[in-house]
Amino acid sequence: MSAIQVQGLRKEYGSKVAVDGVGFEVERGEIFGFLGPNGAGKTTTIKILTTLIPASAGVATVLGFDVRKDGMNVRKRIGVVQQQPSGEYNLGIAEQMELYGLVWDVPKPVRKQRVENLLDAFGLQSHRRERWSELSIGLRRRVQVAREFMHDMDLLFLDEPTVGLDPIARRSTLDMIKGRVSEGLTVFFTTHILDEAEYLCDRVAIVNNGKIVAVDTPKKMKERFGGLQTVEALVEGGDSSALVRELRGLDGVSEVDEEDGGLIKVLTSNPSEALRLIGTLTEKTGARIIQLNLREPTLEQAFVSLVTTKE
Amino acid sequence: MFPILRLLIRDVRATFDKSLLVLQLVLPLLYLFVAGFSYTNLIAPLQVNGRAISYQQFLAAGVVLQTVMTGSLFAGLLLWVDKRLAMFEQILMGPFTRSQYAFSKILSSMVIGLGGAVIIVGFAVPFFVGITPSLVGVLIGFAAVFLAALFFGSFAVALSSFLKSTESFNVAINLLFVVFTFVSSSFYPVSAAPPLLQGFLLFNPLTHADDLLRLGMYGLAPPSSCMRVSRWCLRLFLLSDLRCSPSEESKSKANG
Repeated sequence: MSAIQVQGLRKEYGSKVAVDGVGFEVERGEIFGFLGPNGAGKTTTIKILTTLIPASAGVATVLGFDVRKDGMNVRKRIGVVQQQPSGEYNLGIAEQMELYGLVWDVPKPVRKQRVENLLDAFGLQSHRRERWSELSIGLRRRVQVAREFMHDMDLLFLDEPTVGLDPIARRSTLDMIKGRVSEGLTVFFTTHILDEAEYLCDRVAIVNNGKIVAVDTPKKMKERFGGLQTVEALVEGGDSSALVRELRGLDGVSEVDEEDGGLIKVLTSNPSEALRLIGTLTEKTGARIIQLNLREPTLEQAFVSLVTTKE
Repeated sequence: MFPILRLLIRDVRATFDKSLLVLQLVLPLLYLFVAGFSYTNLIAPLQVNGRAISYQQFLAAGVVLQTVMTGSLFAGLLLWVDKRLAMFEQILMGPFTRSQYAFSKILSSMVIGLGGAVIIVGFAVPFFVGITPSLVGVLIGFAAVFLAALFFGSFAVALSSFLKSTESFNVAINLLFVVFTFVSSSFYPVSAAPPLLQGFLLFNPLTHADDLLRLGMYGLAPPSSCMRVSRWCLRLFLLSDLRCSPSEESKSKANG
């Protein structure tokens, strides 16, 4: 049974359509990325799936329960980290985590232990007495993510959970999530940071103007929509301008740039031919290759290509 | 543990600002001891059932209910704080129904309002010397306090669902406090007000709660207060439950 099944999901606010016939499936134990520009309908979709708002049309089941008819059974089994920081204004970090466990009816000894484990895991021990009102945005975000692990769940919704986190905190948060997934958790994840999606997600859906424009693994998404690859060659000596000229005439090459310091960047659909030519010509002209890189298309390229062409 | 009880504990531990308790008590005590002592010398005792009731005794009942009102109003408005800190949606995405959430907020406001009232009653004991209400009177008095807490808690929860900004929250708090306090029979009997004002006083549930408490304590006859306050409570309770639906709330936030 899938963790999430969505068919023809639609949400209208008056004349504005926030979600327009979205359909997808998330397998259990999967990290599913839901990517899209601002206003694409990501948060609205999460709000429908977490039973916070009703859909205007369509069907959605979460962990086998209909979100419209069986909301309580959905909510008992999910965790949600909202895009907007949420916390108890007057309480210290440890106390509010403990209280959140109580709200979720976690037995006292278990929640005491979990507070300590999570404070360690998220690097919050030294801040444990600091109140929400005294915390930086990054710390608030860390507390918010850590707090959600106070209770058991089968499915975790993360709505841009790493906004405001420094790179180290971001990486440790993503690794923590990965660790939980290896224990059986399913994750529905939205982000603007495509490196994160690539690092974390088994599959991603790209959503734009309320519609899903593509669903695939990050690797296949890059292959299908990422477009051209980049060959980078750092060349010393010889006649680099001749090399650039020859590369521009090669089949499949769409752009060649020569930067200061002898770095040549070739954007091509045929990287093996470009690499071969660079090797041959540098040998002929007496130049020396210092560094040679082949850069795969990024998920960001695929994202930009999909979002801009479908607009 | 019951979901509502868990939410109640959360409200008392997290959302409720302890300084509110002090604020909740300072003003009623000022009324009781400063206004009470001063005006007693100016206002003749009321004759009730052949017994004289001093102004201080009249005021004491009003002050107890004013404490209930202040505590319940402030606590009920904590729903607005939940919305501001995004805990409203966080809780509703947890293992609770919106009715449980709304009811827990009303219950929290009642607990806080009634807690304040108990303390004020303690201070007001000297004013009740010589007053021996019957068991029925005590029950009527308790009903007045309970209904007032229920009404103001429900009212504040319903109102919170409409508030959008800190400014509107501040204006609402100040305006409501003054209007409910002074356009009521807390400080003077309805019959002492000009005829036009009497209509407004009778529209205020605090007036009926005041009268009900005085009925219980001193045997003063109220104008069918219990039913009026109960009806208001029911309306407000249903409205607050309805207004805790997150769908309305989320419309304006549907930006992604």
